[in-house]
Amino acid sequence: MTERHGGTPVPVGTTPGGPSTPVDQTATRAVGSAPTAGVATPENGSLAGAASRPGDPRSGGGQPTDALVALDAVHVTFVTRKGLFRSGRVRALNGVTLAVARGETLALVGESGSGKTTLGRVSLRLTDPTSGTVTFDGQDVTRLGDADLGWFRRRAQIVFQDPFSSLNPYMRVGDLVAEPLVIDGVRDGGERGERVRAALEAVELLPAARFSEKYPTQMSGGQRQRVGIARALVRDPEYIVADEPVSMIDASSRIEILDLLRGLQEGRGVAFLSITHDIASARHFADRIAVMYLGQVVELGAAGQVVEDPLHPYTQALIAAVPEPDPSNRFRRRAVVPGEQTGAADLPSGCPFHPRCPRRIPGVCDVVRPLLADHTPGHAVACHLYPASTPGPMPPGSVALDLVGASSATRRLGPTP
Amino acid sequence: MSFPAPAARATAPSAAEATGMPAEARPLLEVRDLHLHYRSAGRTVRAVDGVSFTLDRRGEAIGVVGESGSGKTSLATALMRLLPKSVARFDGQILLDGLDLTALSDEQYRRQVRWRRIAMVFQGAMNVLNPVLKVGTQIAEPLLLDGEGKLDKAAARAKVGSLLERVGLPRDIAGRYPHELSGGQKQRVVIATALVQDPDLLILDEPTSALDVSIQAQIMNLLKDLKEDPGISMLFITHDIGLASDLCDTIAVAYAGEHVEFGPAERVLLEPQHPYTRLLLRSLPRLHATERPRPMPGEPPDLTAPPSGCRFHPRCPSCFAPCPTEHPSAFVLPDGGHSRCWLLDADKVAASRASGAAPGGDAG
Repeated sequence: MTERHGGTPVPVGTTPGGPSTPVDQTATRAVGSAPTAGVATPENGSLAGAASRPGDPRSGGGQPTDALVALDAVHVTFVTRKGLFRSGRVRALNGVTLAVARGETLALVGESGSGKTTLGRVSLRLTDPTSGTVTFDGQDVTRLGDADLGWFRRRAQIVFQDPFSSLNPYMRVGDLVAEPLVIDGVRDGGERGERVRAALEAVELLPAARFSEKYPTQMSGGQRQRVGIARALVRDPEYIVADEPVSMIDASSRIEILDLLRGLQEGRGVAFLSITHDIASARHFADRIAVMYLGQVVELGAAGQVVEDPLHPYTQALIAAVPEPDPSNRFRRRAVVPGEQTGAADLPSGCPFHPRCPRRIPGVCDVVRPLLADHTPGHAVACHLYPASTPGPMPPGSVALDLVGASSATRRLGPTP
Repeated sequence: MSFPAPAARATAPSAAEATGMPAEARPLLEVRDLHLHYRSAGRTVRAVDGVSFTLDRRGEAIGVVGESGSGKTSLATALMRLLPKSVARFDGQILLDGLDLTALSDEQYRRQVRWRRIAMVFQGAMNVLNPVLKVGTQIAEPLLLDGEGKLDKAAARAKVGSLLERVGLPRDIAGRYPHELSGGQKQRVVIATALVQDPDLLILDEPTSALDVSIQAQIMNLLKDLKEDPGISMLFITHDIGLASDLCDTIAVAYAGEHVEFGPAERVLLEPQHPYTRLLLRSLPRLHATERPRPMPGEPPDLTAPPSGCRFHPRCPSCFAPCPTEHPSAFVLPDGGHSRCWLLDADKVAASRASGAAPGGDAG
């Protein structure tokens, strides 16, 4: 959606590791009031508590208590060029609070432009949040500089979407997988070789010695993606972001790769943030599903629960749109939501889904942004059809603030702004 | 909305000549023993290798399902006769409403058939709309060219307007440029462009692969509408057998250049006869099932050196005596479809049982 403006998105004025430059009033105040000094530990609950006022139901939201990675009220705003002199703002993430537990797979499901890749990148500090905090293993990594991020970079890894462009074609597989170890300063060639072999065996590229000698072009898409996974795995990480790891490879090889990732999660206890547009795969290979729409998490819960009992009208539409192999499909039209996701450059007021929502409540959904709150324990939704999502009666002034579209950032200022 | 059930198929791949039959009994499209091979780096790629099928009536949709490299797109380029220079072999018979297309010269084909009777929506076509032309101009282009069916500007404008409405867009979209449209709108424009000369057959190559799932569902609804009214026949190419079931009355399963299974959607999806189809269905992640999908064993075949005998035998859990050496013919099934699998040959199965080497159990 950023291409539409003819400019490359530029993260809003950030120097590597330095504090983000605020882009608007609400963000300024949010950054100013962020608990930078205190390390929020998931155990004592201050993580969720930091962003919620008393009685704010958002502290639930199906968030795990043993969070490895936690995002709290994260906003990411990109600046795009519009013509010669004007610039536009794209709110890629708009107040996301989400945590990945140790050893779980959390699937992030949404359409292109929903902000799921940005969320994955923020959780790895590959993109700096405009406001909000990122915590890893209890430590606030939001404002750490590159020099202090070394430990984090070893423990948190990414598997890229496209195994055809993410591997250097002039390097042999053995060298590709060894590269992170070289960067880590593992000088002992014997140890490096041993760890590369173990990583290749873990991704079932066997015999490892033979695959070490190959170049990426001599391998199928599925095998290349295994090399990408081995590269992430060789550092023995606790957290891996898998950004659409199977969307570029042949349909018949997809299940093998998803099986492999699931095996790594179950066998080694690696936590995965799995970014996907395929909710059917997410149902089978993830523990929980977070559904994103226009930079916000609109539903979060156990994978089976989200699929069998979807609460948000957007999730319901997403599930109704999935074609299952059934010969009677062709005799009926699919129930579809009209229109398309608008760009994050012109975010709707209130609920981001309200312009397309078949069940919108006039005067509410287009005005007040719903909060992600537990509907049943462990199953959260951000929708005014469910009482928990609607913030309590607010003075007119605070409704106006919600129109800014940054409710969670403003909320941390206190009950009455 | 109701659709008529697929007609019982009287014609098998080896059926009698279609030409000379009365028009109402004549299939709209009949493909017989089609081959399309390419030369690549001194080797022959057998992309389409002995494919036969029929599309019986107007408004019927055939789905061609298979993994990449199974020859799905090559079948489409053969039907459109948009062939690269590297063609090593192109033969077989293609009959469109009784007209033998293979007998036409390239020039006759271009004037009479391509876009006029057979049109195609290419994969990713929405991304190659001309960015400096208004979409109305692009849709109208063939209508304004000299030749049979040339329209004046006012008539062309009216035709474009009604086409846009037919594909679910407002008429004034004609005055916009592609960059002003969303992905779903662009794909609707591409479909309108293919329909501008009222073709009998529309070939769609992965028409929704670049679209998000909710937009994909909107486009599939549009295709269902067009299938019913004005009754356009479709050849729908996809790797997603679930998506094929959303539109297609008949499904062909492509593997290594052949159609290993062909028949009514009901039978192919619910009672597949070929082990590959069974494994393909089991490898799909089902939304409303608790059972996890199972991976397809083995590696996709190399089209320059397909396996001997049955091309699927190295990956087949039911592989038995004849499979590694003898190429299975297309066994005709009671519903008129066919399947290339030795398990359907009772004699072979019995012989192998007698020799103690029973065929493996059910696939997977």
